[in-house]
Amino acid sequence: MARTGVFVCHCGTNIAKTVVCEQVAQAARAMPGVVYATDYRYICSAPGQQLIQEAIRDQNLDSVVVASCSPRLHEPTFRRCVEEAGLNPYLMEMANIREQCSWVHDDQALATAKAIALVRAAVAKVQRNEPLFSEQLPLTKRALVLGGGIAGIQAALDIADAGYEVLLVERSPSIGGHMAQFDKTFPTLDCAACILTPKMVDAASHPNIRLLTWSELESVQGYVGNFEVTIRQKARYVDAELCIGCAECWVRCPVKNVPAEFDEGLGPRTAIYVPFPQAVPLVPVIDKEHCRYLTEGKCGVCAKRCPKDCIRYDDEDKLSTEQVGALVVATGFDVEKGALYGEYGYGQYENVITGLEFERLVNLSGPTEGKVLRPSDQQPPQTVVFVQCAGSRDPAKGVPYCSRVCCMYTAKQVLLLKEKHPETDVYVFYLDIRAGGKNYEEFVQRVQDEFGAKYIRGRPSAIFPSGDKLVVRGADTMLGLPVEVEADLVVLASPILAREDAKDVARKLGLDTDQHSFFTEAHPKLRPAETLTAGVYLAGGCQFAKDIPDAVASAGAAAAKVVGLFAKDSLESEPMIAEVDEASCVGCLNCLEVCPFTAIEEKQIEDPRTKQVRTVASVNAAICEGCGTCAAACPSKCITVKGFKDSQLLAAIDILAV
Amino acid sequence: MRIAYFPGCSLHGTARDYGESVVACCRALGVELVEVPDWVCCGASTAPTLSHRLAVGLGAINLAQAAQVGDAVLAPCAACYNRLKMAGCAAQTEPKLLDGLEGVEAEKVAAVRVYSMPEFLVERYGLDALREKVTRPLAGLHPAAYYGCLLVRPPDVCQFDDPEQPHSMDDILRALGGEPVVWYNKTDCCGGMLSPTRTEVVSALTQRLVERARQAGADCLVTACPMCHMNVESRQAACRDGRLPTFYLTDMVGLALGLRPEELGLKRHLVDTLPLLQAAGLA
Amino acid sequence: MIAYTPSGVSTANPAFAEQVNARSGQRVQKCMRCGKCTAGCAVGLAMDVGPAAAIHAAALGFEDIALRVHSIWLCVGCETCTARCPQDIDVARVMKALAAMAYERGLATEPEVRSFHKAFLQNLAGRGRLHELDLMTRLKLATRQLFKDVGLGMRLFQKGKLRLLPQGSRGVNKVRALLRSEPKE
Repeated sequence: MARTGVFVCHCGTNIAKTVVCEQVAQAARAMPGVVYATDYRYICSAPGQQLIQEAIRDQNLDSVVVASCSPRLHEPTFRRCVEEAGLNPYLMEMANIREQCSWVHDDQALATAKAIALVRAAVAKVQRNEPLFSEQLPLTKRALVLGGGIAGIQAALDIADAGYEVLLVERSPSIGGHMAQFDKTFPTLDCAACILTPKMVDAASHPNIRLLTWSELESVQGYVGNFEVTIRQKARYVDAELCIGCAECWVRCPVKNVPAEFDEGLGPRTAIYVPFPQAVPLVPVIDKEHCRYLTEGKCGVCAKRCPKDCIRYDDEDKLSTEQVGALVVATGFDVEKGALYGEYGYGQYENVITGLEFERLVNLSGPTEGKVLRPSDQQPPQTVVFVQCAGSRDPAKGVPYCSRVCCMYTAKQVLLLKEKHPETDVYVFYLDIRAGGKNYEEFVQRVQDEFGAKYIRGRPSAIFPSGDKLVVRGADTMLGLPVEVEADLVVLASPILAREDAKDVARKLGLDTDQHSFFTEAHPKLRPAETLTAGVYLAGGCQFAKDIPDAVASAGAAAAKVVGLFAKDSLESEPMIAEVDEASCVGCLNCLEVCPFTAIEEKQIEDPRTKQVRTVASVNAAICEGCGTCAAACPSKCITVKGFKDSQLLAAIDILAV
Repeated sequence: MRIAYFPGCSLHGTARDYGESVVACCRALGVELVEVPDWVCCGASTAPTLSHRLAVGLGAINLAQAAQVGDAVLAPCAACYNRLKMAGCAAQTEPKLLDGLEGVEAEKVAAVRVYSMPEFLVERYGLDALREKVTRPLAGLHPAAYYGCLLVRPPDVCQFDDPEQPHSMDDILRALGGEPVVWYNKTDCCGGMLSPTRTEVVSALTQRLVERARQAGADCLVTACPMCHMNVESRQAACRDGRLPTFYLTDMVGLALGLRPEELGLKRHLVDTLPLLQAAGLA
Repeated sequence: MIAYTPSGVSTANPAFAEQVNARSGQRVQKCMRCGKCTAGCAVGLAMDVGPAAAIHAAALGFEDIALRVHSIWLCVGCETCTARCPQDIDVARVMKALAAMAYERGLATEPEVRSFHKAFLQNLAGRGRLHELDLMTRLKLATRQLFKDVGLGMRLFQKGKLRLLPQGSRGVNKVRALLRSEPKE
């Protein structure tokens, strides 16, 4: 005889406003097998959970129904709660009378009746539940960090410092990411390279970190704790083991005019190159599209000059497979190339550049050695106009969001410009100033007051040439008047975008992206470092535009999750997975065809009766997600999902028909 | 007690009632007022508008004259008070402005303590001393203490009372046995010097003041600024209940000390105060 | 930089902001354009643009805009803006500096208010103390509003508050000496 306890939650007024909870509890008391029913204001709270635990003990309950919010929110909470009272956690069912009832209805009488029905169904089901148990799964305590920008580097260091091995995979020839391109950073005006390069060196020399640059993730198989990743190390054409970074090769390379990616195309690089002088590893790669030897069979100067004989023209991509237990995605972001607005003339007028391009101009290691010069004539500009929100916050152009960092980096760029060229007349057209960070607001105020930049609120309408100058046609919404400024150089704070191939990476990892291709976190407020794929975590700008402090913080958060995972000895499998009754399985393998997680395998067994070997289906308990597709496809009804058997589900449905 | 007295142009002219009220009141309190010798106009609103140096200069000339009387000066007109105080501040922060002014030394000017009427009563005379002199408590009147702008702003200059929620006049009225109403427009501007030229602005502002005071349950306003007094009296519109009477702070003090309305110049007010005072048993 | 206004194109004068700073003893570049001064301005209900816009125009160097707004003449010096400015700018003083600069150049978009001030100064130079009857007479003649407030004047006279004869001060010479250099016309 069942001894079910029903607990109806008010959830403050979330449920109680529309559903009369006392009535639901009262109705529950009359349901078959229910020996105890009560209502309480917040069942998920400590006293609420205590209520359940005491009732289990005092009333000798063998099953529990919690009528409250969505199981997405508190199923683990209540499972833990009943387990602590000595009941198998799978003998607890939740009836969602909030998201599926009180939150979507107004009529109190009807909503209460519906809540009672939902409880009735849950009671019917739980009385047919069986105790379920997890299995222990192996756990590989190695992590892979995908992306070697500041977030990836920080995550790798944090995990490595905790004592675990890390593979840091970076697709460009050096780690460092976008931060390596920046000049001084806000608000402290720390030089980006000065604070980044020590971390880069730490990552390269850390005994627990293996650096794989010029490498990409090819594919991922497996599941949390047991991922098998295939990595493609692209052909470098240089033997990294022998190379000492002496620079002979790239200094000698005759191909000197390839637009350098690191300089946003504003300056040249050679065919054999390191992206920047502080590259880690300090090992060049050969750009096979532009190398004379690789394209025409001519030259070969680098091979001749290399003192350590490291050049390998016959190099090929290498694929390797690694076992890891967790993945941290830190693939970063891109800065839009300014072409969103035809009216701003990026691409048409040489002296309209993006913020990232300006960063390269003002950087001492950039193509103009830190002098801010107009691209058209290499002359210092007398009037510079910065345009914030040049693409961001524009739903019509498809970028409705705020890119978060531009107000601050524009202010910083103004400061750096004025420091080097104090006579420059500087205007900043802005929509709002977003300076929500420690010392950020004061920094922006200082740029206006101390450095004399003129901030004008209004979005420019167009930029057009006038002689060798550019006229910026804007508005001063405070004066309510259209204004025009004749500029020598215009800097557009163009939007922060997800990487172009973000969706492809997401697919490989089984991750969701939002409509802007940023990776989706498990919960935007409470779980920003996790994804809905167990074992895969997010760090840095790939989740959304963020500044360096936030990127570092998010990397720490992701690392903490990885370290938390690795701190266990093994993983517990999810018990609510598919199970095959081998005796009745005919081996049609329909289930194998339809399983979206490739969790079903063919298995040969010896039939105990006929002694013949036959094929049956077999579920890999580690991979199965319990989706139930196989159970629906099985013609002989021999595969079921534990906790969701037909008998349980039909009982819940049938009771509603009464 | 003896103190230099700066009447300013209005207390000898269109605010003659205020002047009479101040003199009678101080006599009753035992305060000897010594008019500042050869005082000149403080510059009111015109001087600061046209020339900061002119405003500071006029104030400094007057403070230098006041210094001949003593270390402090009482300026019952809020504008004069504000100009004198500002000149005292400027003597410390921008002393060069005082160059070329005959008989004016920055240090002497900066050393003169400038009092408004409420400031004098609270800080120099003292509320306890005031309370002791009350013979006819002000029960029966529900005044709204109206500070206006220049008694408390800018806070750096006046350094007296709270610039947003002042209470000095309320405290004085309570010490006199009165019950000032609670209201939230204490420091709203009356429109000042725009009265003759942009009259409609002053009308709008004073109308709002009077309405809010009435809503708060007040049957009169109490002010310490002759400009506010003139504007509220002359520019408020007549309504069903007539016009709201306006008193000077010293009127209240005088009445509580047992003085008669004529002694306080009350007959010179444009809005008759006698019916209200009689009803409250104060006249 | 230029601005398009209904009365024509205004060209920014790069030196203007510092001129205003020198006159007012404030730094107009500190303004964060929050609008609190405009929000609290007692006379804002009558102004064309609030003090914030006037200061902003000055900071950008738009001399002819800043010196032609009506606001600078309507400012009564209630000091609400000064008391509340988050950047500690003495806003009222900047408004008055702009008015003084406008006065110097013979600009006055509120001619009656200018006439009032001029009448006041003439009065002051006479005897060193204000004679209200004289001030009002001068104002009426300048504005050609002969019958305005005549009723009020009569009542004041009846109450003994309108002196017919002026009073003078022996300090008038000091005042005249000051008036010789201030304000600059």
